[in-house]
Amino acid sequence: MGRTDPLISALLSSLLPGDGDWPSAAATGLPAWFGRRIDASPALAEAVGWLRIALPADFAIRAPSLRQVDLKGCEAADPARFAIVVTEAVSGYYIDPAVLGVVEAKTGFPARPPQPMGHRLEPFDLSILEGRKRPASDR
Amino acid sequence: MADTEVLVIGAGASGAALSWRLSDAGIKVICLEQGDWVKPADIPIDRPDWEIARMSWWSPNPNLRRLPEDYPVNDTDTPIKPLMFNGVGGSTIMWSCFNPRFHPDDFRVRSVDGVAEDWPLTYDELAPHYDLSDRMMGVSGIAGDPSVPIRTERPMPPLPIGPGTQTVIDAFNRLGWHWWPGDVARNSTEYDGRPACNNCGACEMGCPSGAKGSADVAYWPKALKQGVELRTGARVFEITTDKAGRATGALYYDRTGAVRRVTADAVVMASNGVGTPRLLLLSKSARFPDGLANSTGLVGKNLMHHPIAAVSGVFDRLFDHGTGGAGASMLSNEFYGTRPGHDFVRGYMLAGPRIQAPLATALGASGRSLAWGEGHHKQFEQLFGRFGSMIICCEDLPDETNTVTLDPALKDSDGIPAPKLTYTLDDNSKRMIRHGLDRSKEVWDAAGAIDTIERPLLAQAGFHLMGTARMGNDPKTSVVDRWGRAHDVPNLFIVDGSVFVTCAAVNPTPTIEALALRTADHMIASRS
Repeated sequence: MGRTDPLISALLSSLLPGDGDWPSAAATGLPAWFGRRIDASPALAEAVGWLRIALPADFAIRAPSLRQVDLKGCEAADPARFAIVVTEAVSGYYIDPAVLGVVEAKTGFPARPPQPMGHRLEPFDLSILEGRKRPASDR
Repeated sequence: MADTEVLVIGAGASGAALSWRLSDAGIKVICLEQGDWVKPADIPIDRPDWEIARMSWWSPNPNLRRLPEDYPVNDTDTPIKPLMFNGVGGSTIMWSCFNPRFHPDDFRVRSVDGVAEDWPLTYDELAPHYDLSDRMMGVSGIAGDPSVPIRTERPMPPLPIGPGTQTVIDAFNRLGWHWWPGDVARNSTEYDGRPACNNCGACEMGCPSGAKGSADVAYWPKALKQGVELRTGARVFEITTDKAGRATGALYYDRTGAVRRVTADAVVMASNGVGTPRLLLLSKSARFPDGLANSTGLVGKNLMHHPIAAVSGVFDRLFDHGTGGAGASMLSNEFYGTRPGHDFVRGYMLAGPRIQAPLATALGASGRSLAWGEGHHKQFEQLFGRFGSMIICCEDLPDETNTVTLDPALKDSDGIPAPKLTYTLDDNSKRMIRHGLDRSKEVWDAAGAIDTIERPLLAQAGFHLMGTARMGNDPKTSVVDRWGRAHDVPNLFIVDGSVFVTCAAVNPTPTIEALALRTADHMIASRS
């Protein structure tokens, strides 16, 4: 399973292909993570098992454009089951350090969890309330 | 002789506040809590997969979280999924710590608008208890809001306004609409031995530093010091009564599955708006064949949420990363309460803007699903950090057909019947939501958004569980009296959101705490 499974790598790369600075899913830690999730999640295992049957036998070596067509056919056939696979793939992709590094480079959002560092807590700017406060004589 | 003077069921906001207050007066208290303490290391907020945790095994939805101490909730017949946390601190572990109060008219909607019922108490009666709650939890904010009654200064100065919120405030100013910095139970400075917030922005996962005011850090250390006995891993399945119809204590399963009994002179239910009616309905006996305190048949009825809708505003520039707290940093009462010309009664609060992290954005938290395949990254770049969501928090009205009942088949891990929620959004709420969506879009237009996305009803937003054992002066139309005492059982009290008569359009936690503190003061006065 995972990185050594051509179908999974092809599937993930089709769902989340590389684009400019964004790495293809297959070039991240996602295939290995996804493999562990298949082992841990019966719903995902069932959905991937369904895809293995539904997709053409040569899916892993087909042209990317054809893979897209194959996957859209599966999505149309069973949107809920297909969504399980997409949600898991996207989840694994956006916790990958390489991907979060791209997010940080493009947006400045730090590629780290909220804690322990947090973010600077600036003081409140009282001037934004000028003219809005109830008059002191009424308070 | 009973084991304790007062037995409290549930160690969340209401149970903690009441236990602290009673013990401060020298009253012996035992509190039973089915969950455990949450240690800082338990909170998965420092892990790379923190966003996945928040959506699954550390979700506020017990049906997704499925911890051993959680009970399942049948939510197939409600569009709003119940959120709660079972542990010391209760749902305040995962609350966003937004801390608004009811307005005075919220306590008398029958008199003002001819709908629902009036509360058997007034805002002025509750105000001192609100103040005490603020001091205990630690609230950051600022007095002077012209839309609410004159108030005491908050214990701490307000939290800062982020860049996205400033954009929204500028839009409100352009529209001439009311706004004010939100009261938030998060430390803007060191307070009561707890540190200032480090602005991590993920309050709803729990706060490992204790900067967030949750009941486990704000009340429980003091309550324990005053002698309260807190038993964790104690899952109550029956409130026991005697032949005279008085509560005598409770039966519970301990961690080993053994049945234990605690006897008490008085019992206080503090198990939230779902857990309390569940336990009352479970506590059937020959004297109480329909469940405890349920001679009216109202236990479990009149379930209220706050229907929450949202509109996301999308910008062609960086809006906000969300590197700040989750609690609303501003609110607007522009459409609060009944207004002339509206096609609905009562009203809503606007709050926000909510900002989302990368994975939540990729999974559609803006309200827009991202495509997979070619184009995914472009869509992500167009949304992440470039949108905020205006939250529309609507006042719900009580309806007896919205209920908490016992599920005939679903059970928790101890075999105790689980609750089932049945809830339908009424036409008044639908019209109110429509109005809120349109006004929110106006805000975003005024803010310069290039696009807006409507979310007419958020499913995973059922944190506010209210009304299922309501308060009133008339024993024929209410479950508890103005002090939270059950009409049917003179030594049984209820202090959680179950007692709400109406729900206003604000987060309920400060009101729940104030009511619990008020009930505690009444019990103290009655004792002496």
